[in-house]
Amino acid sequence: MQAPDEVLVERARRGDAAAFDALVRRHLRPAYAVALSVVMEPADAEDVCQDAFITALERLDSCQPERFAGWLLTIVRNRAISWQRRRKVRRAEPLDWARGVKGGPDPSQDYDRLALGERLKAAMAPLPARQREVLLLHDLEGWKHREIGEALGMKEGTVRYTLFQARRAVRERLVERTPATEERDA
Amino acid sequence: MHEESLDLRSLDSLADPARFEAVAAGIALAASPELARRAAGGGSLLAVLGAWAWPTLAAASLAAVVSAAALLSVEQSPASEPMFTGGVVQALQLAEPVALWIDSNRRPTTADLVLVLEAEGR
Repeated sequence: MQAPDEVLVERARRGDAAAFDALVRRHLRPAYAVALSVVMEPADAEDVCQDAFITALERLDSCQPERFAGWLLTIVRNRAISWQRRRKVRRAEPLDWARGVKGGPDPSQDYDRLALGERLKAAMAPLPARQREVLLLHDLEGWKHREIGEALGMKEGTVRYTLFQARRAVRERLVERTPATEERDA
Repeated sequence: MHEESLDLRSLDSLADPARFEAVAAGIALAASPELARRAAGGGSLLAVLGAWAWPTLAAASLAAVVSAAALLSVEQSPASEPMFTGGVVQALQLAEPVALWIDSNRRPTTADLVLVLEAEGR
C-alpha cells in the first residue's frame, strides 16, 4: 500500500523524486480529466498536466498536504485556462494526440475511435466548464460524487445534478449529430 | 436522476499504458532540477526568500524601535542643550555672546560681533 498524500508531499518537499513520482502517478489521471475539460484536446491536456505538476512542485511549500488533491486540481484548471488563452491558433492536426505511440490496434479502429472522440468533443464543447469537469472526473476517471465534491468544493447533490445535466446535454447533441443525420442533412 | 455513464474512452489518451508512462516520465524529467535543488537543501525560491526576509524584517523593526525611543528621549530632555552648548563654548574658550548665538540658533548680527570684539578686548 502506498503512503498517503500527506507523507508523499512532505517527502517531495525535501526533494524525494520517488515520492513526487508517486504523487504524479496517483493524480495524473484526474489532472488530465480537469485539463481536458478546459482545453478539450488530449495532447494539450497532457502538456497542461506536465506544466501544472511542475508548477505544483515549485509551490509545494504553500500546499496543505492533506488537501493536496484539490489544491493540485486548482492549479491544473488555472494552467489550462491560461493555456487556452495563449493558444491563438488551434492545432491543425487531429491525429496529433496519438503522437509517439508506436504500434497499437488496427488503424480502422483508430479511425473510428478518433471520429467518436471528435463527435464527443463537439458535443461537450458548448457545456459550461464545470459540467465538463464533473462529467470527465466521473465518467472517465470513475470518481465518486463525494470525491468530486471534495475536490471541487461542491455539495454532493450539486455534483449529481451537474452530472445529470451534462450527460443529458451531451446525449442530445450526439443524437443530433449522428452520422445518419449528418448524411441526411448533407 | 440516475443515468448510465457516457463512454468517454475515445478522449482518454492516458488509457494507453505506454502513453501514461511517457507523460509521467516527461513530468519526472522536467521536475528533476527543482527536486535536485530541494534535495540539496535549497528549497524553493519562496522558501529561500522567506528564510532571509523574516530575520531581516525583525532586525529592521528592532532598529526602528530603538531609534524612535532614542529620538523621543532626546526631544524630551531640552535641559541638555544649554549644558552641551556651554561645554563647547568653554572647551573652545569662546566669548559669552557666542554661546547666545548658538543657543538661539541664529546668525550673529553686527551688534553681536561688536559685543564679541569688545569682550575680546577686555
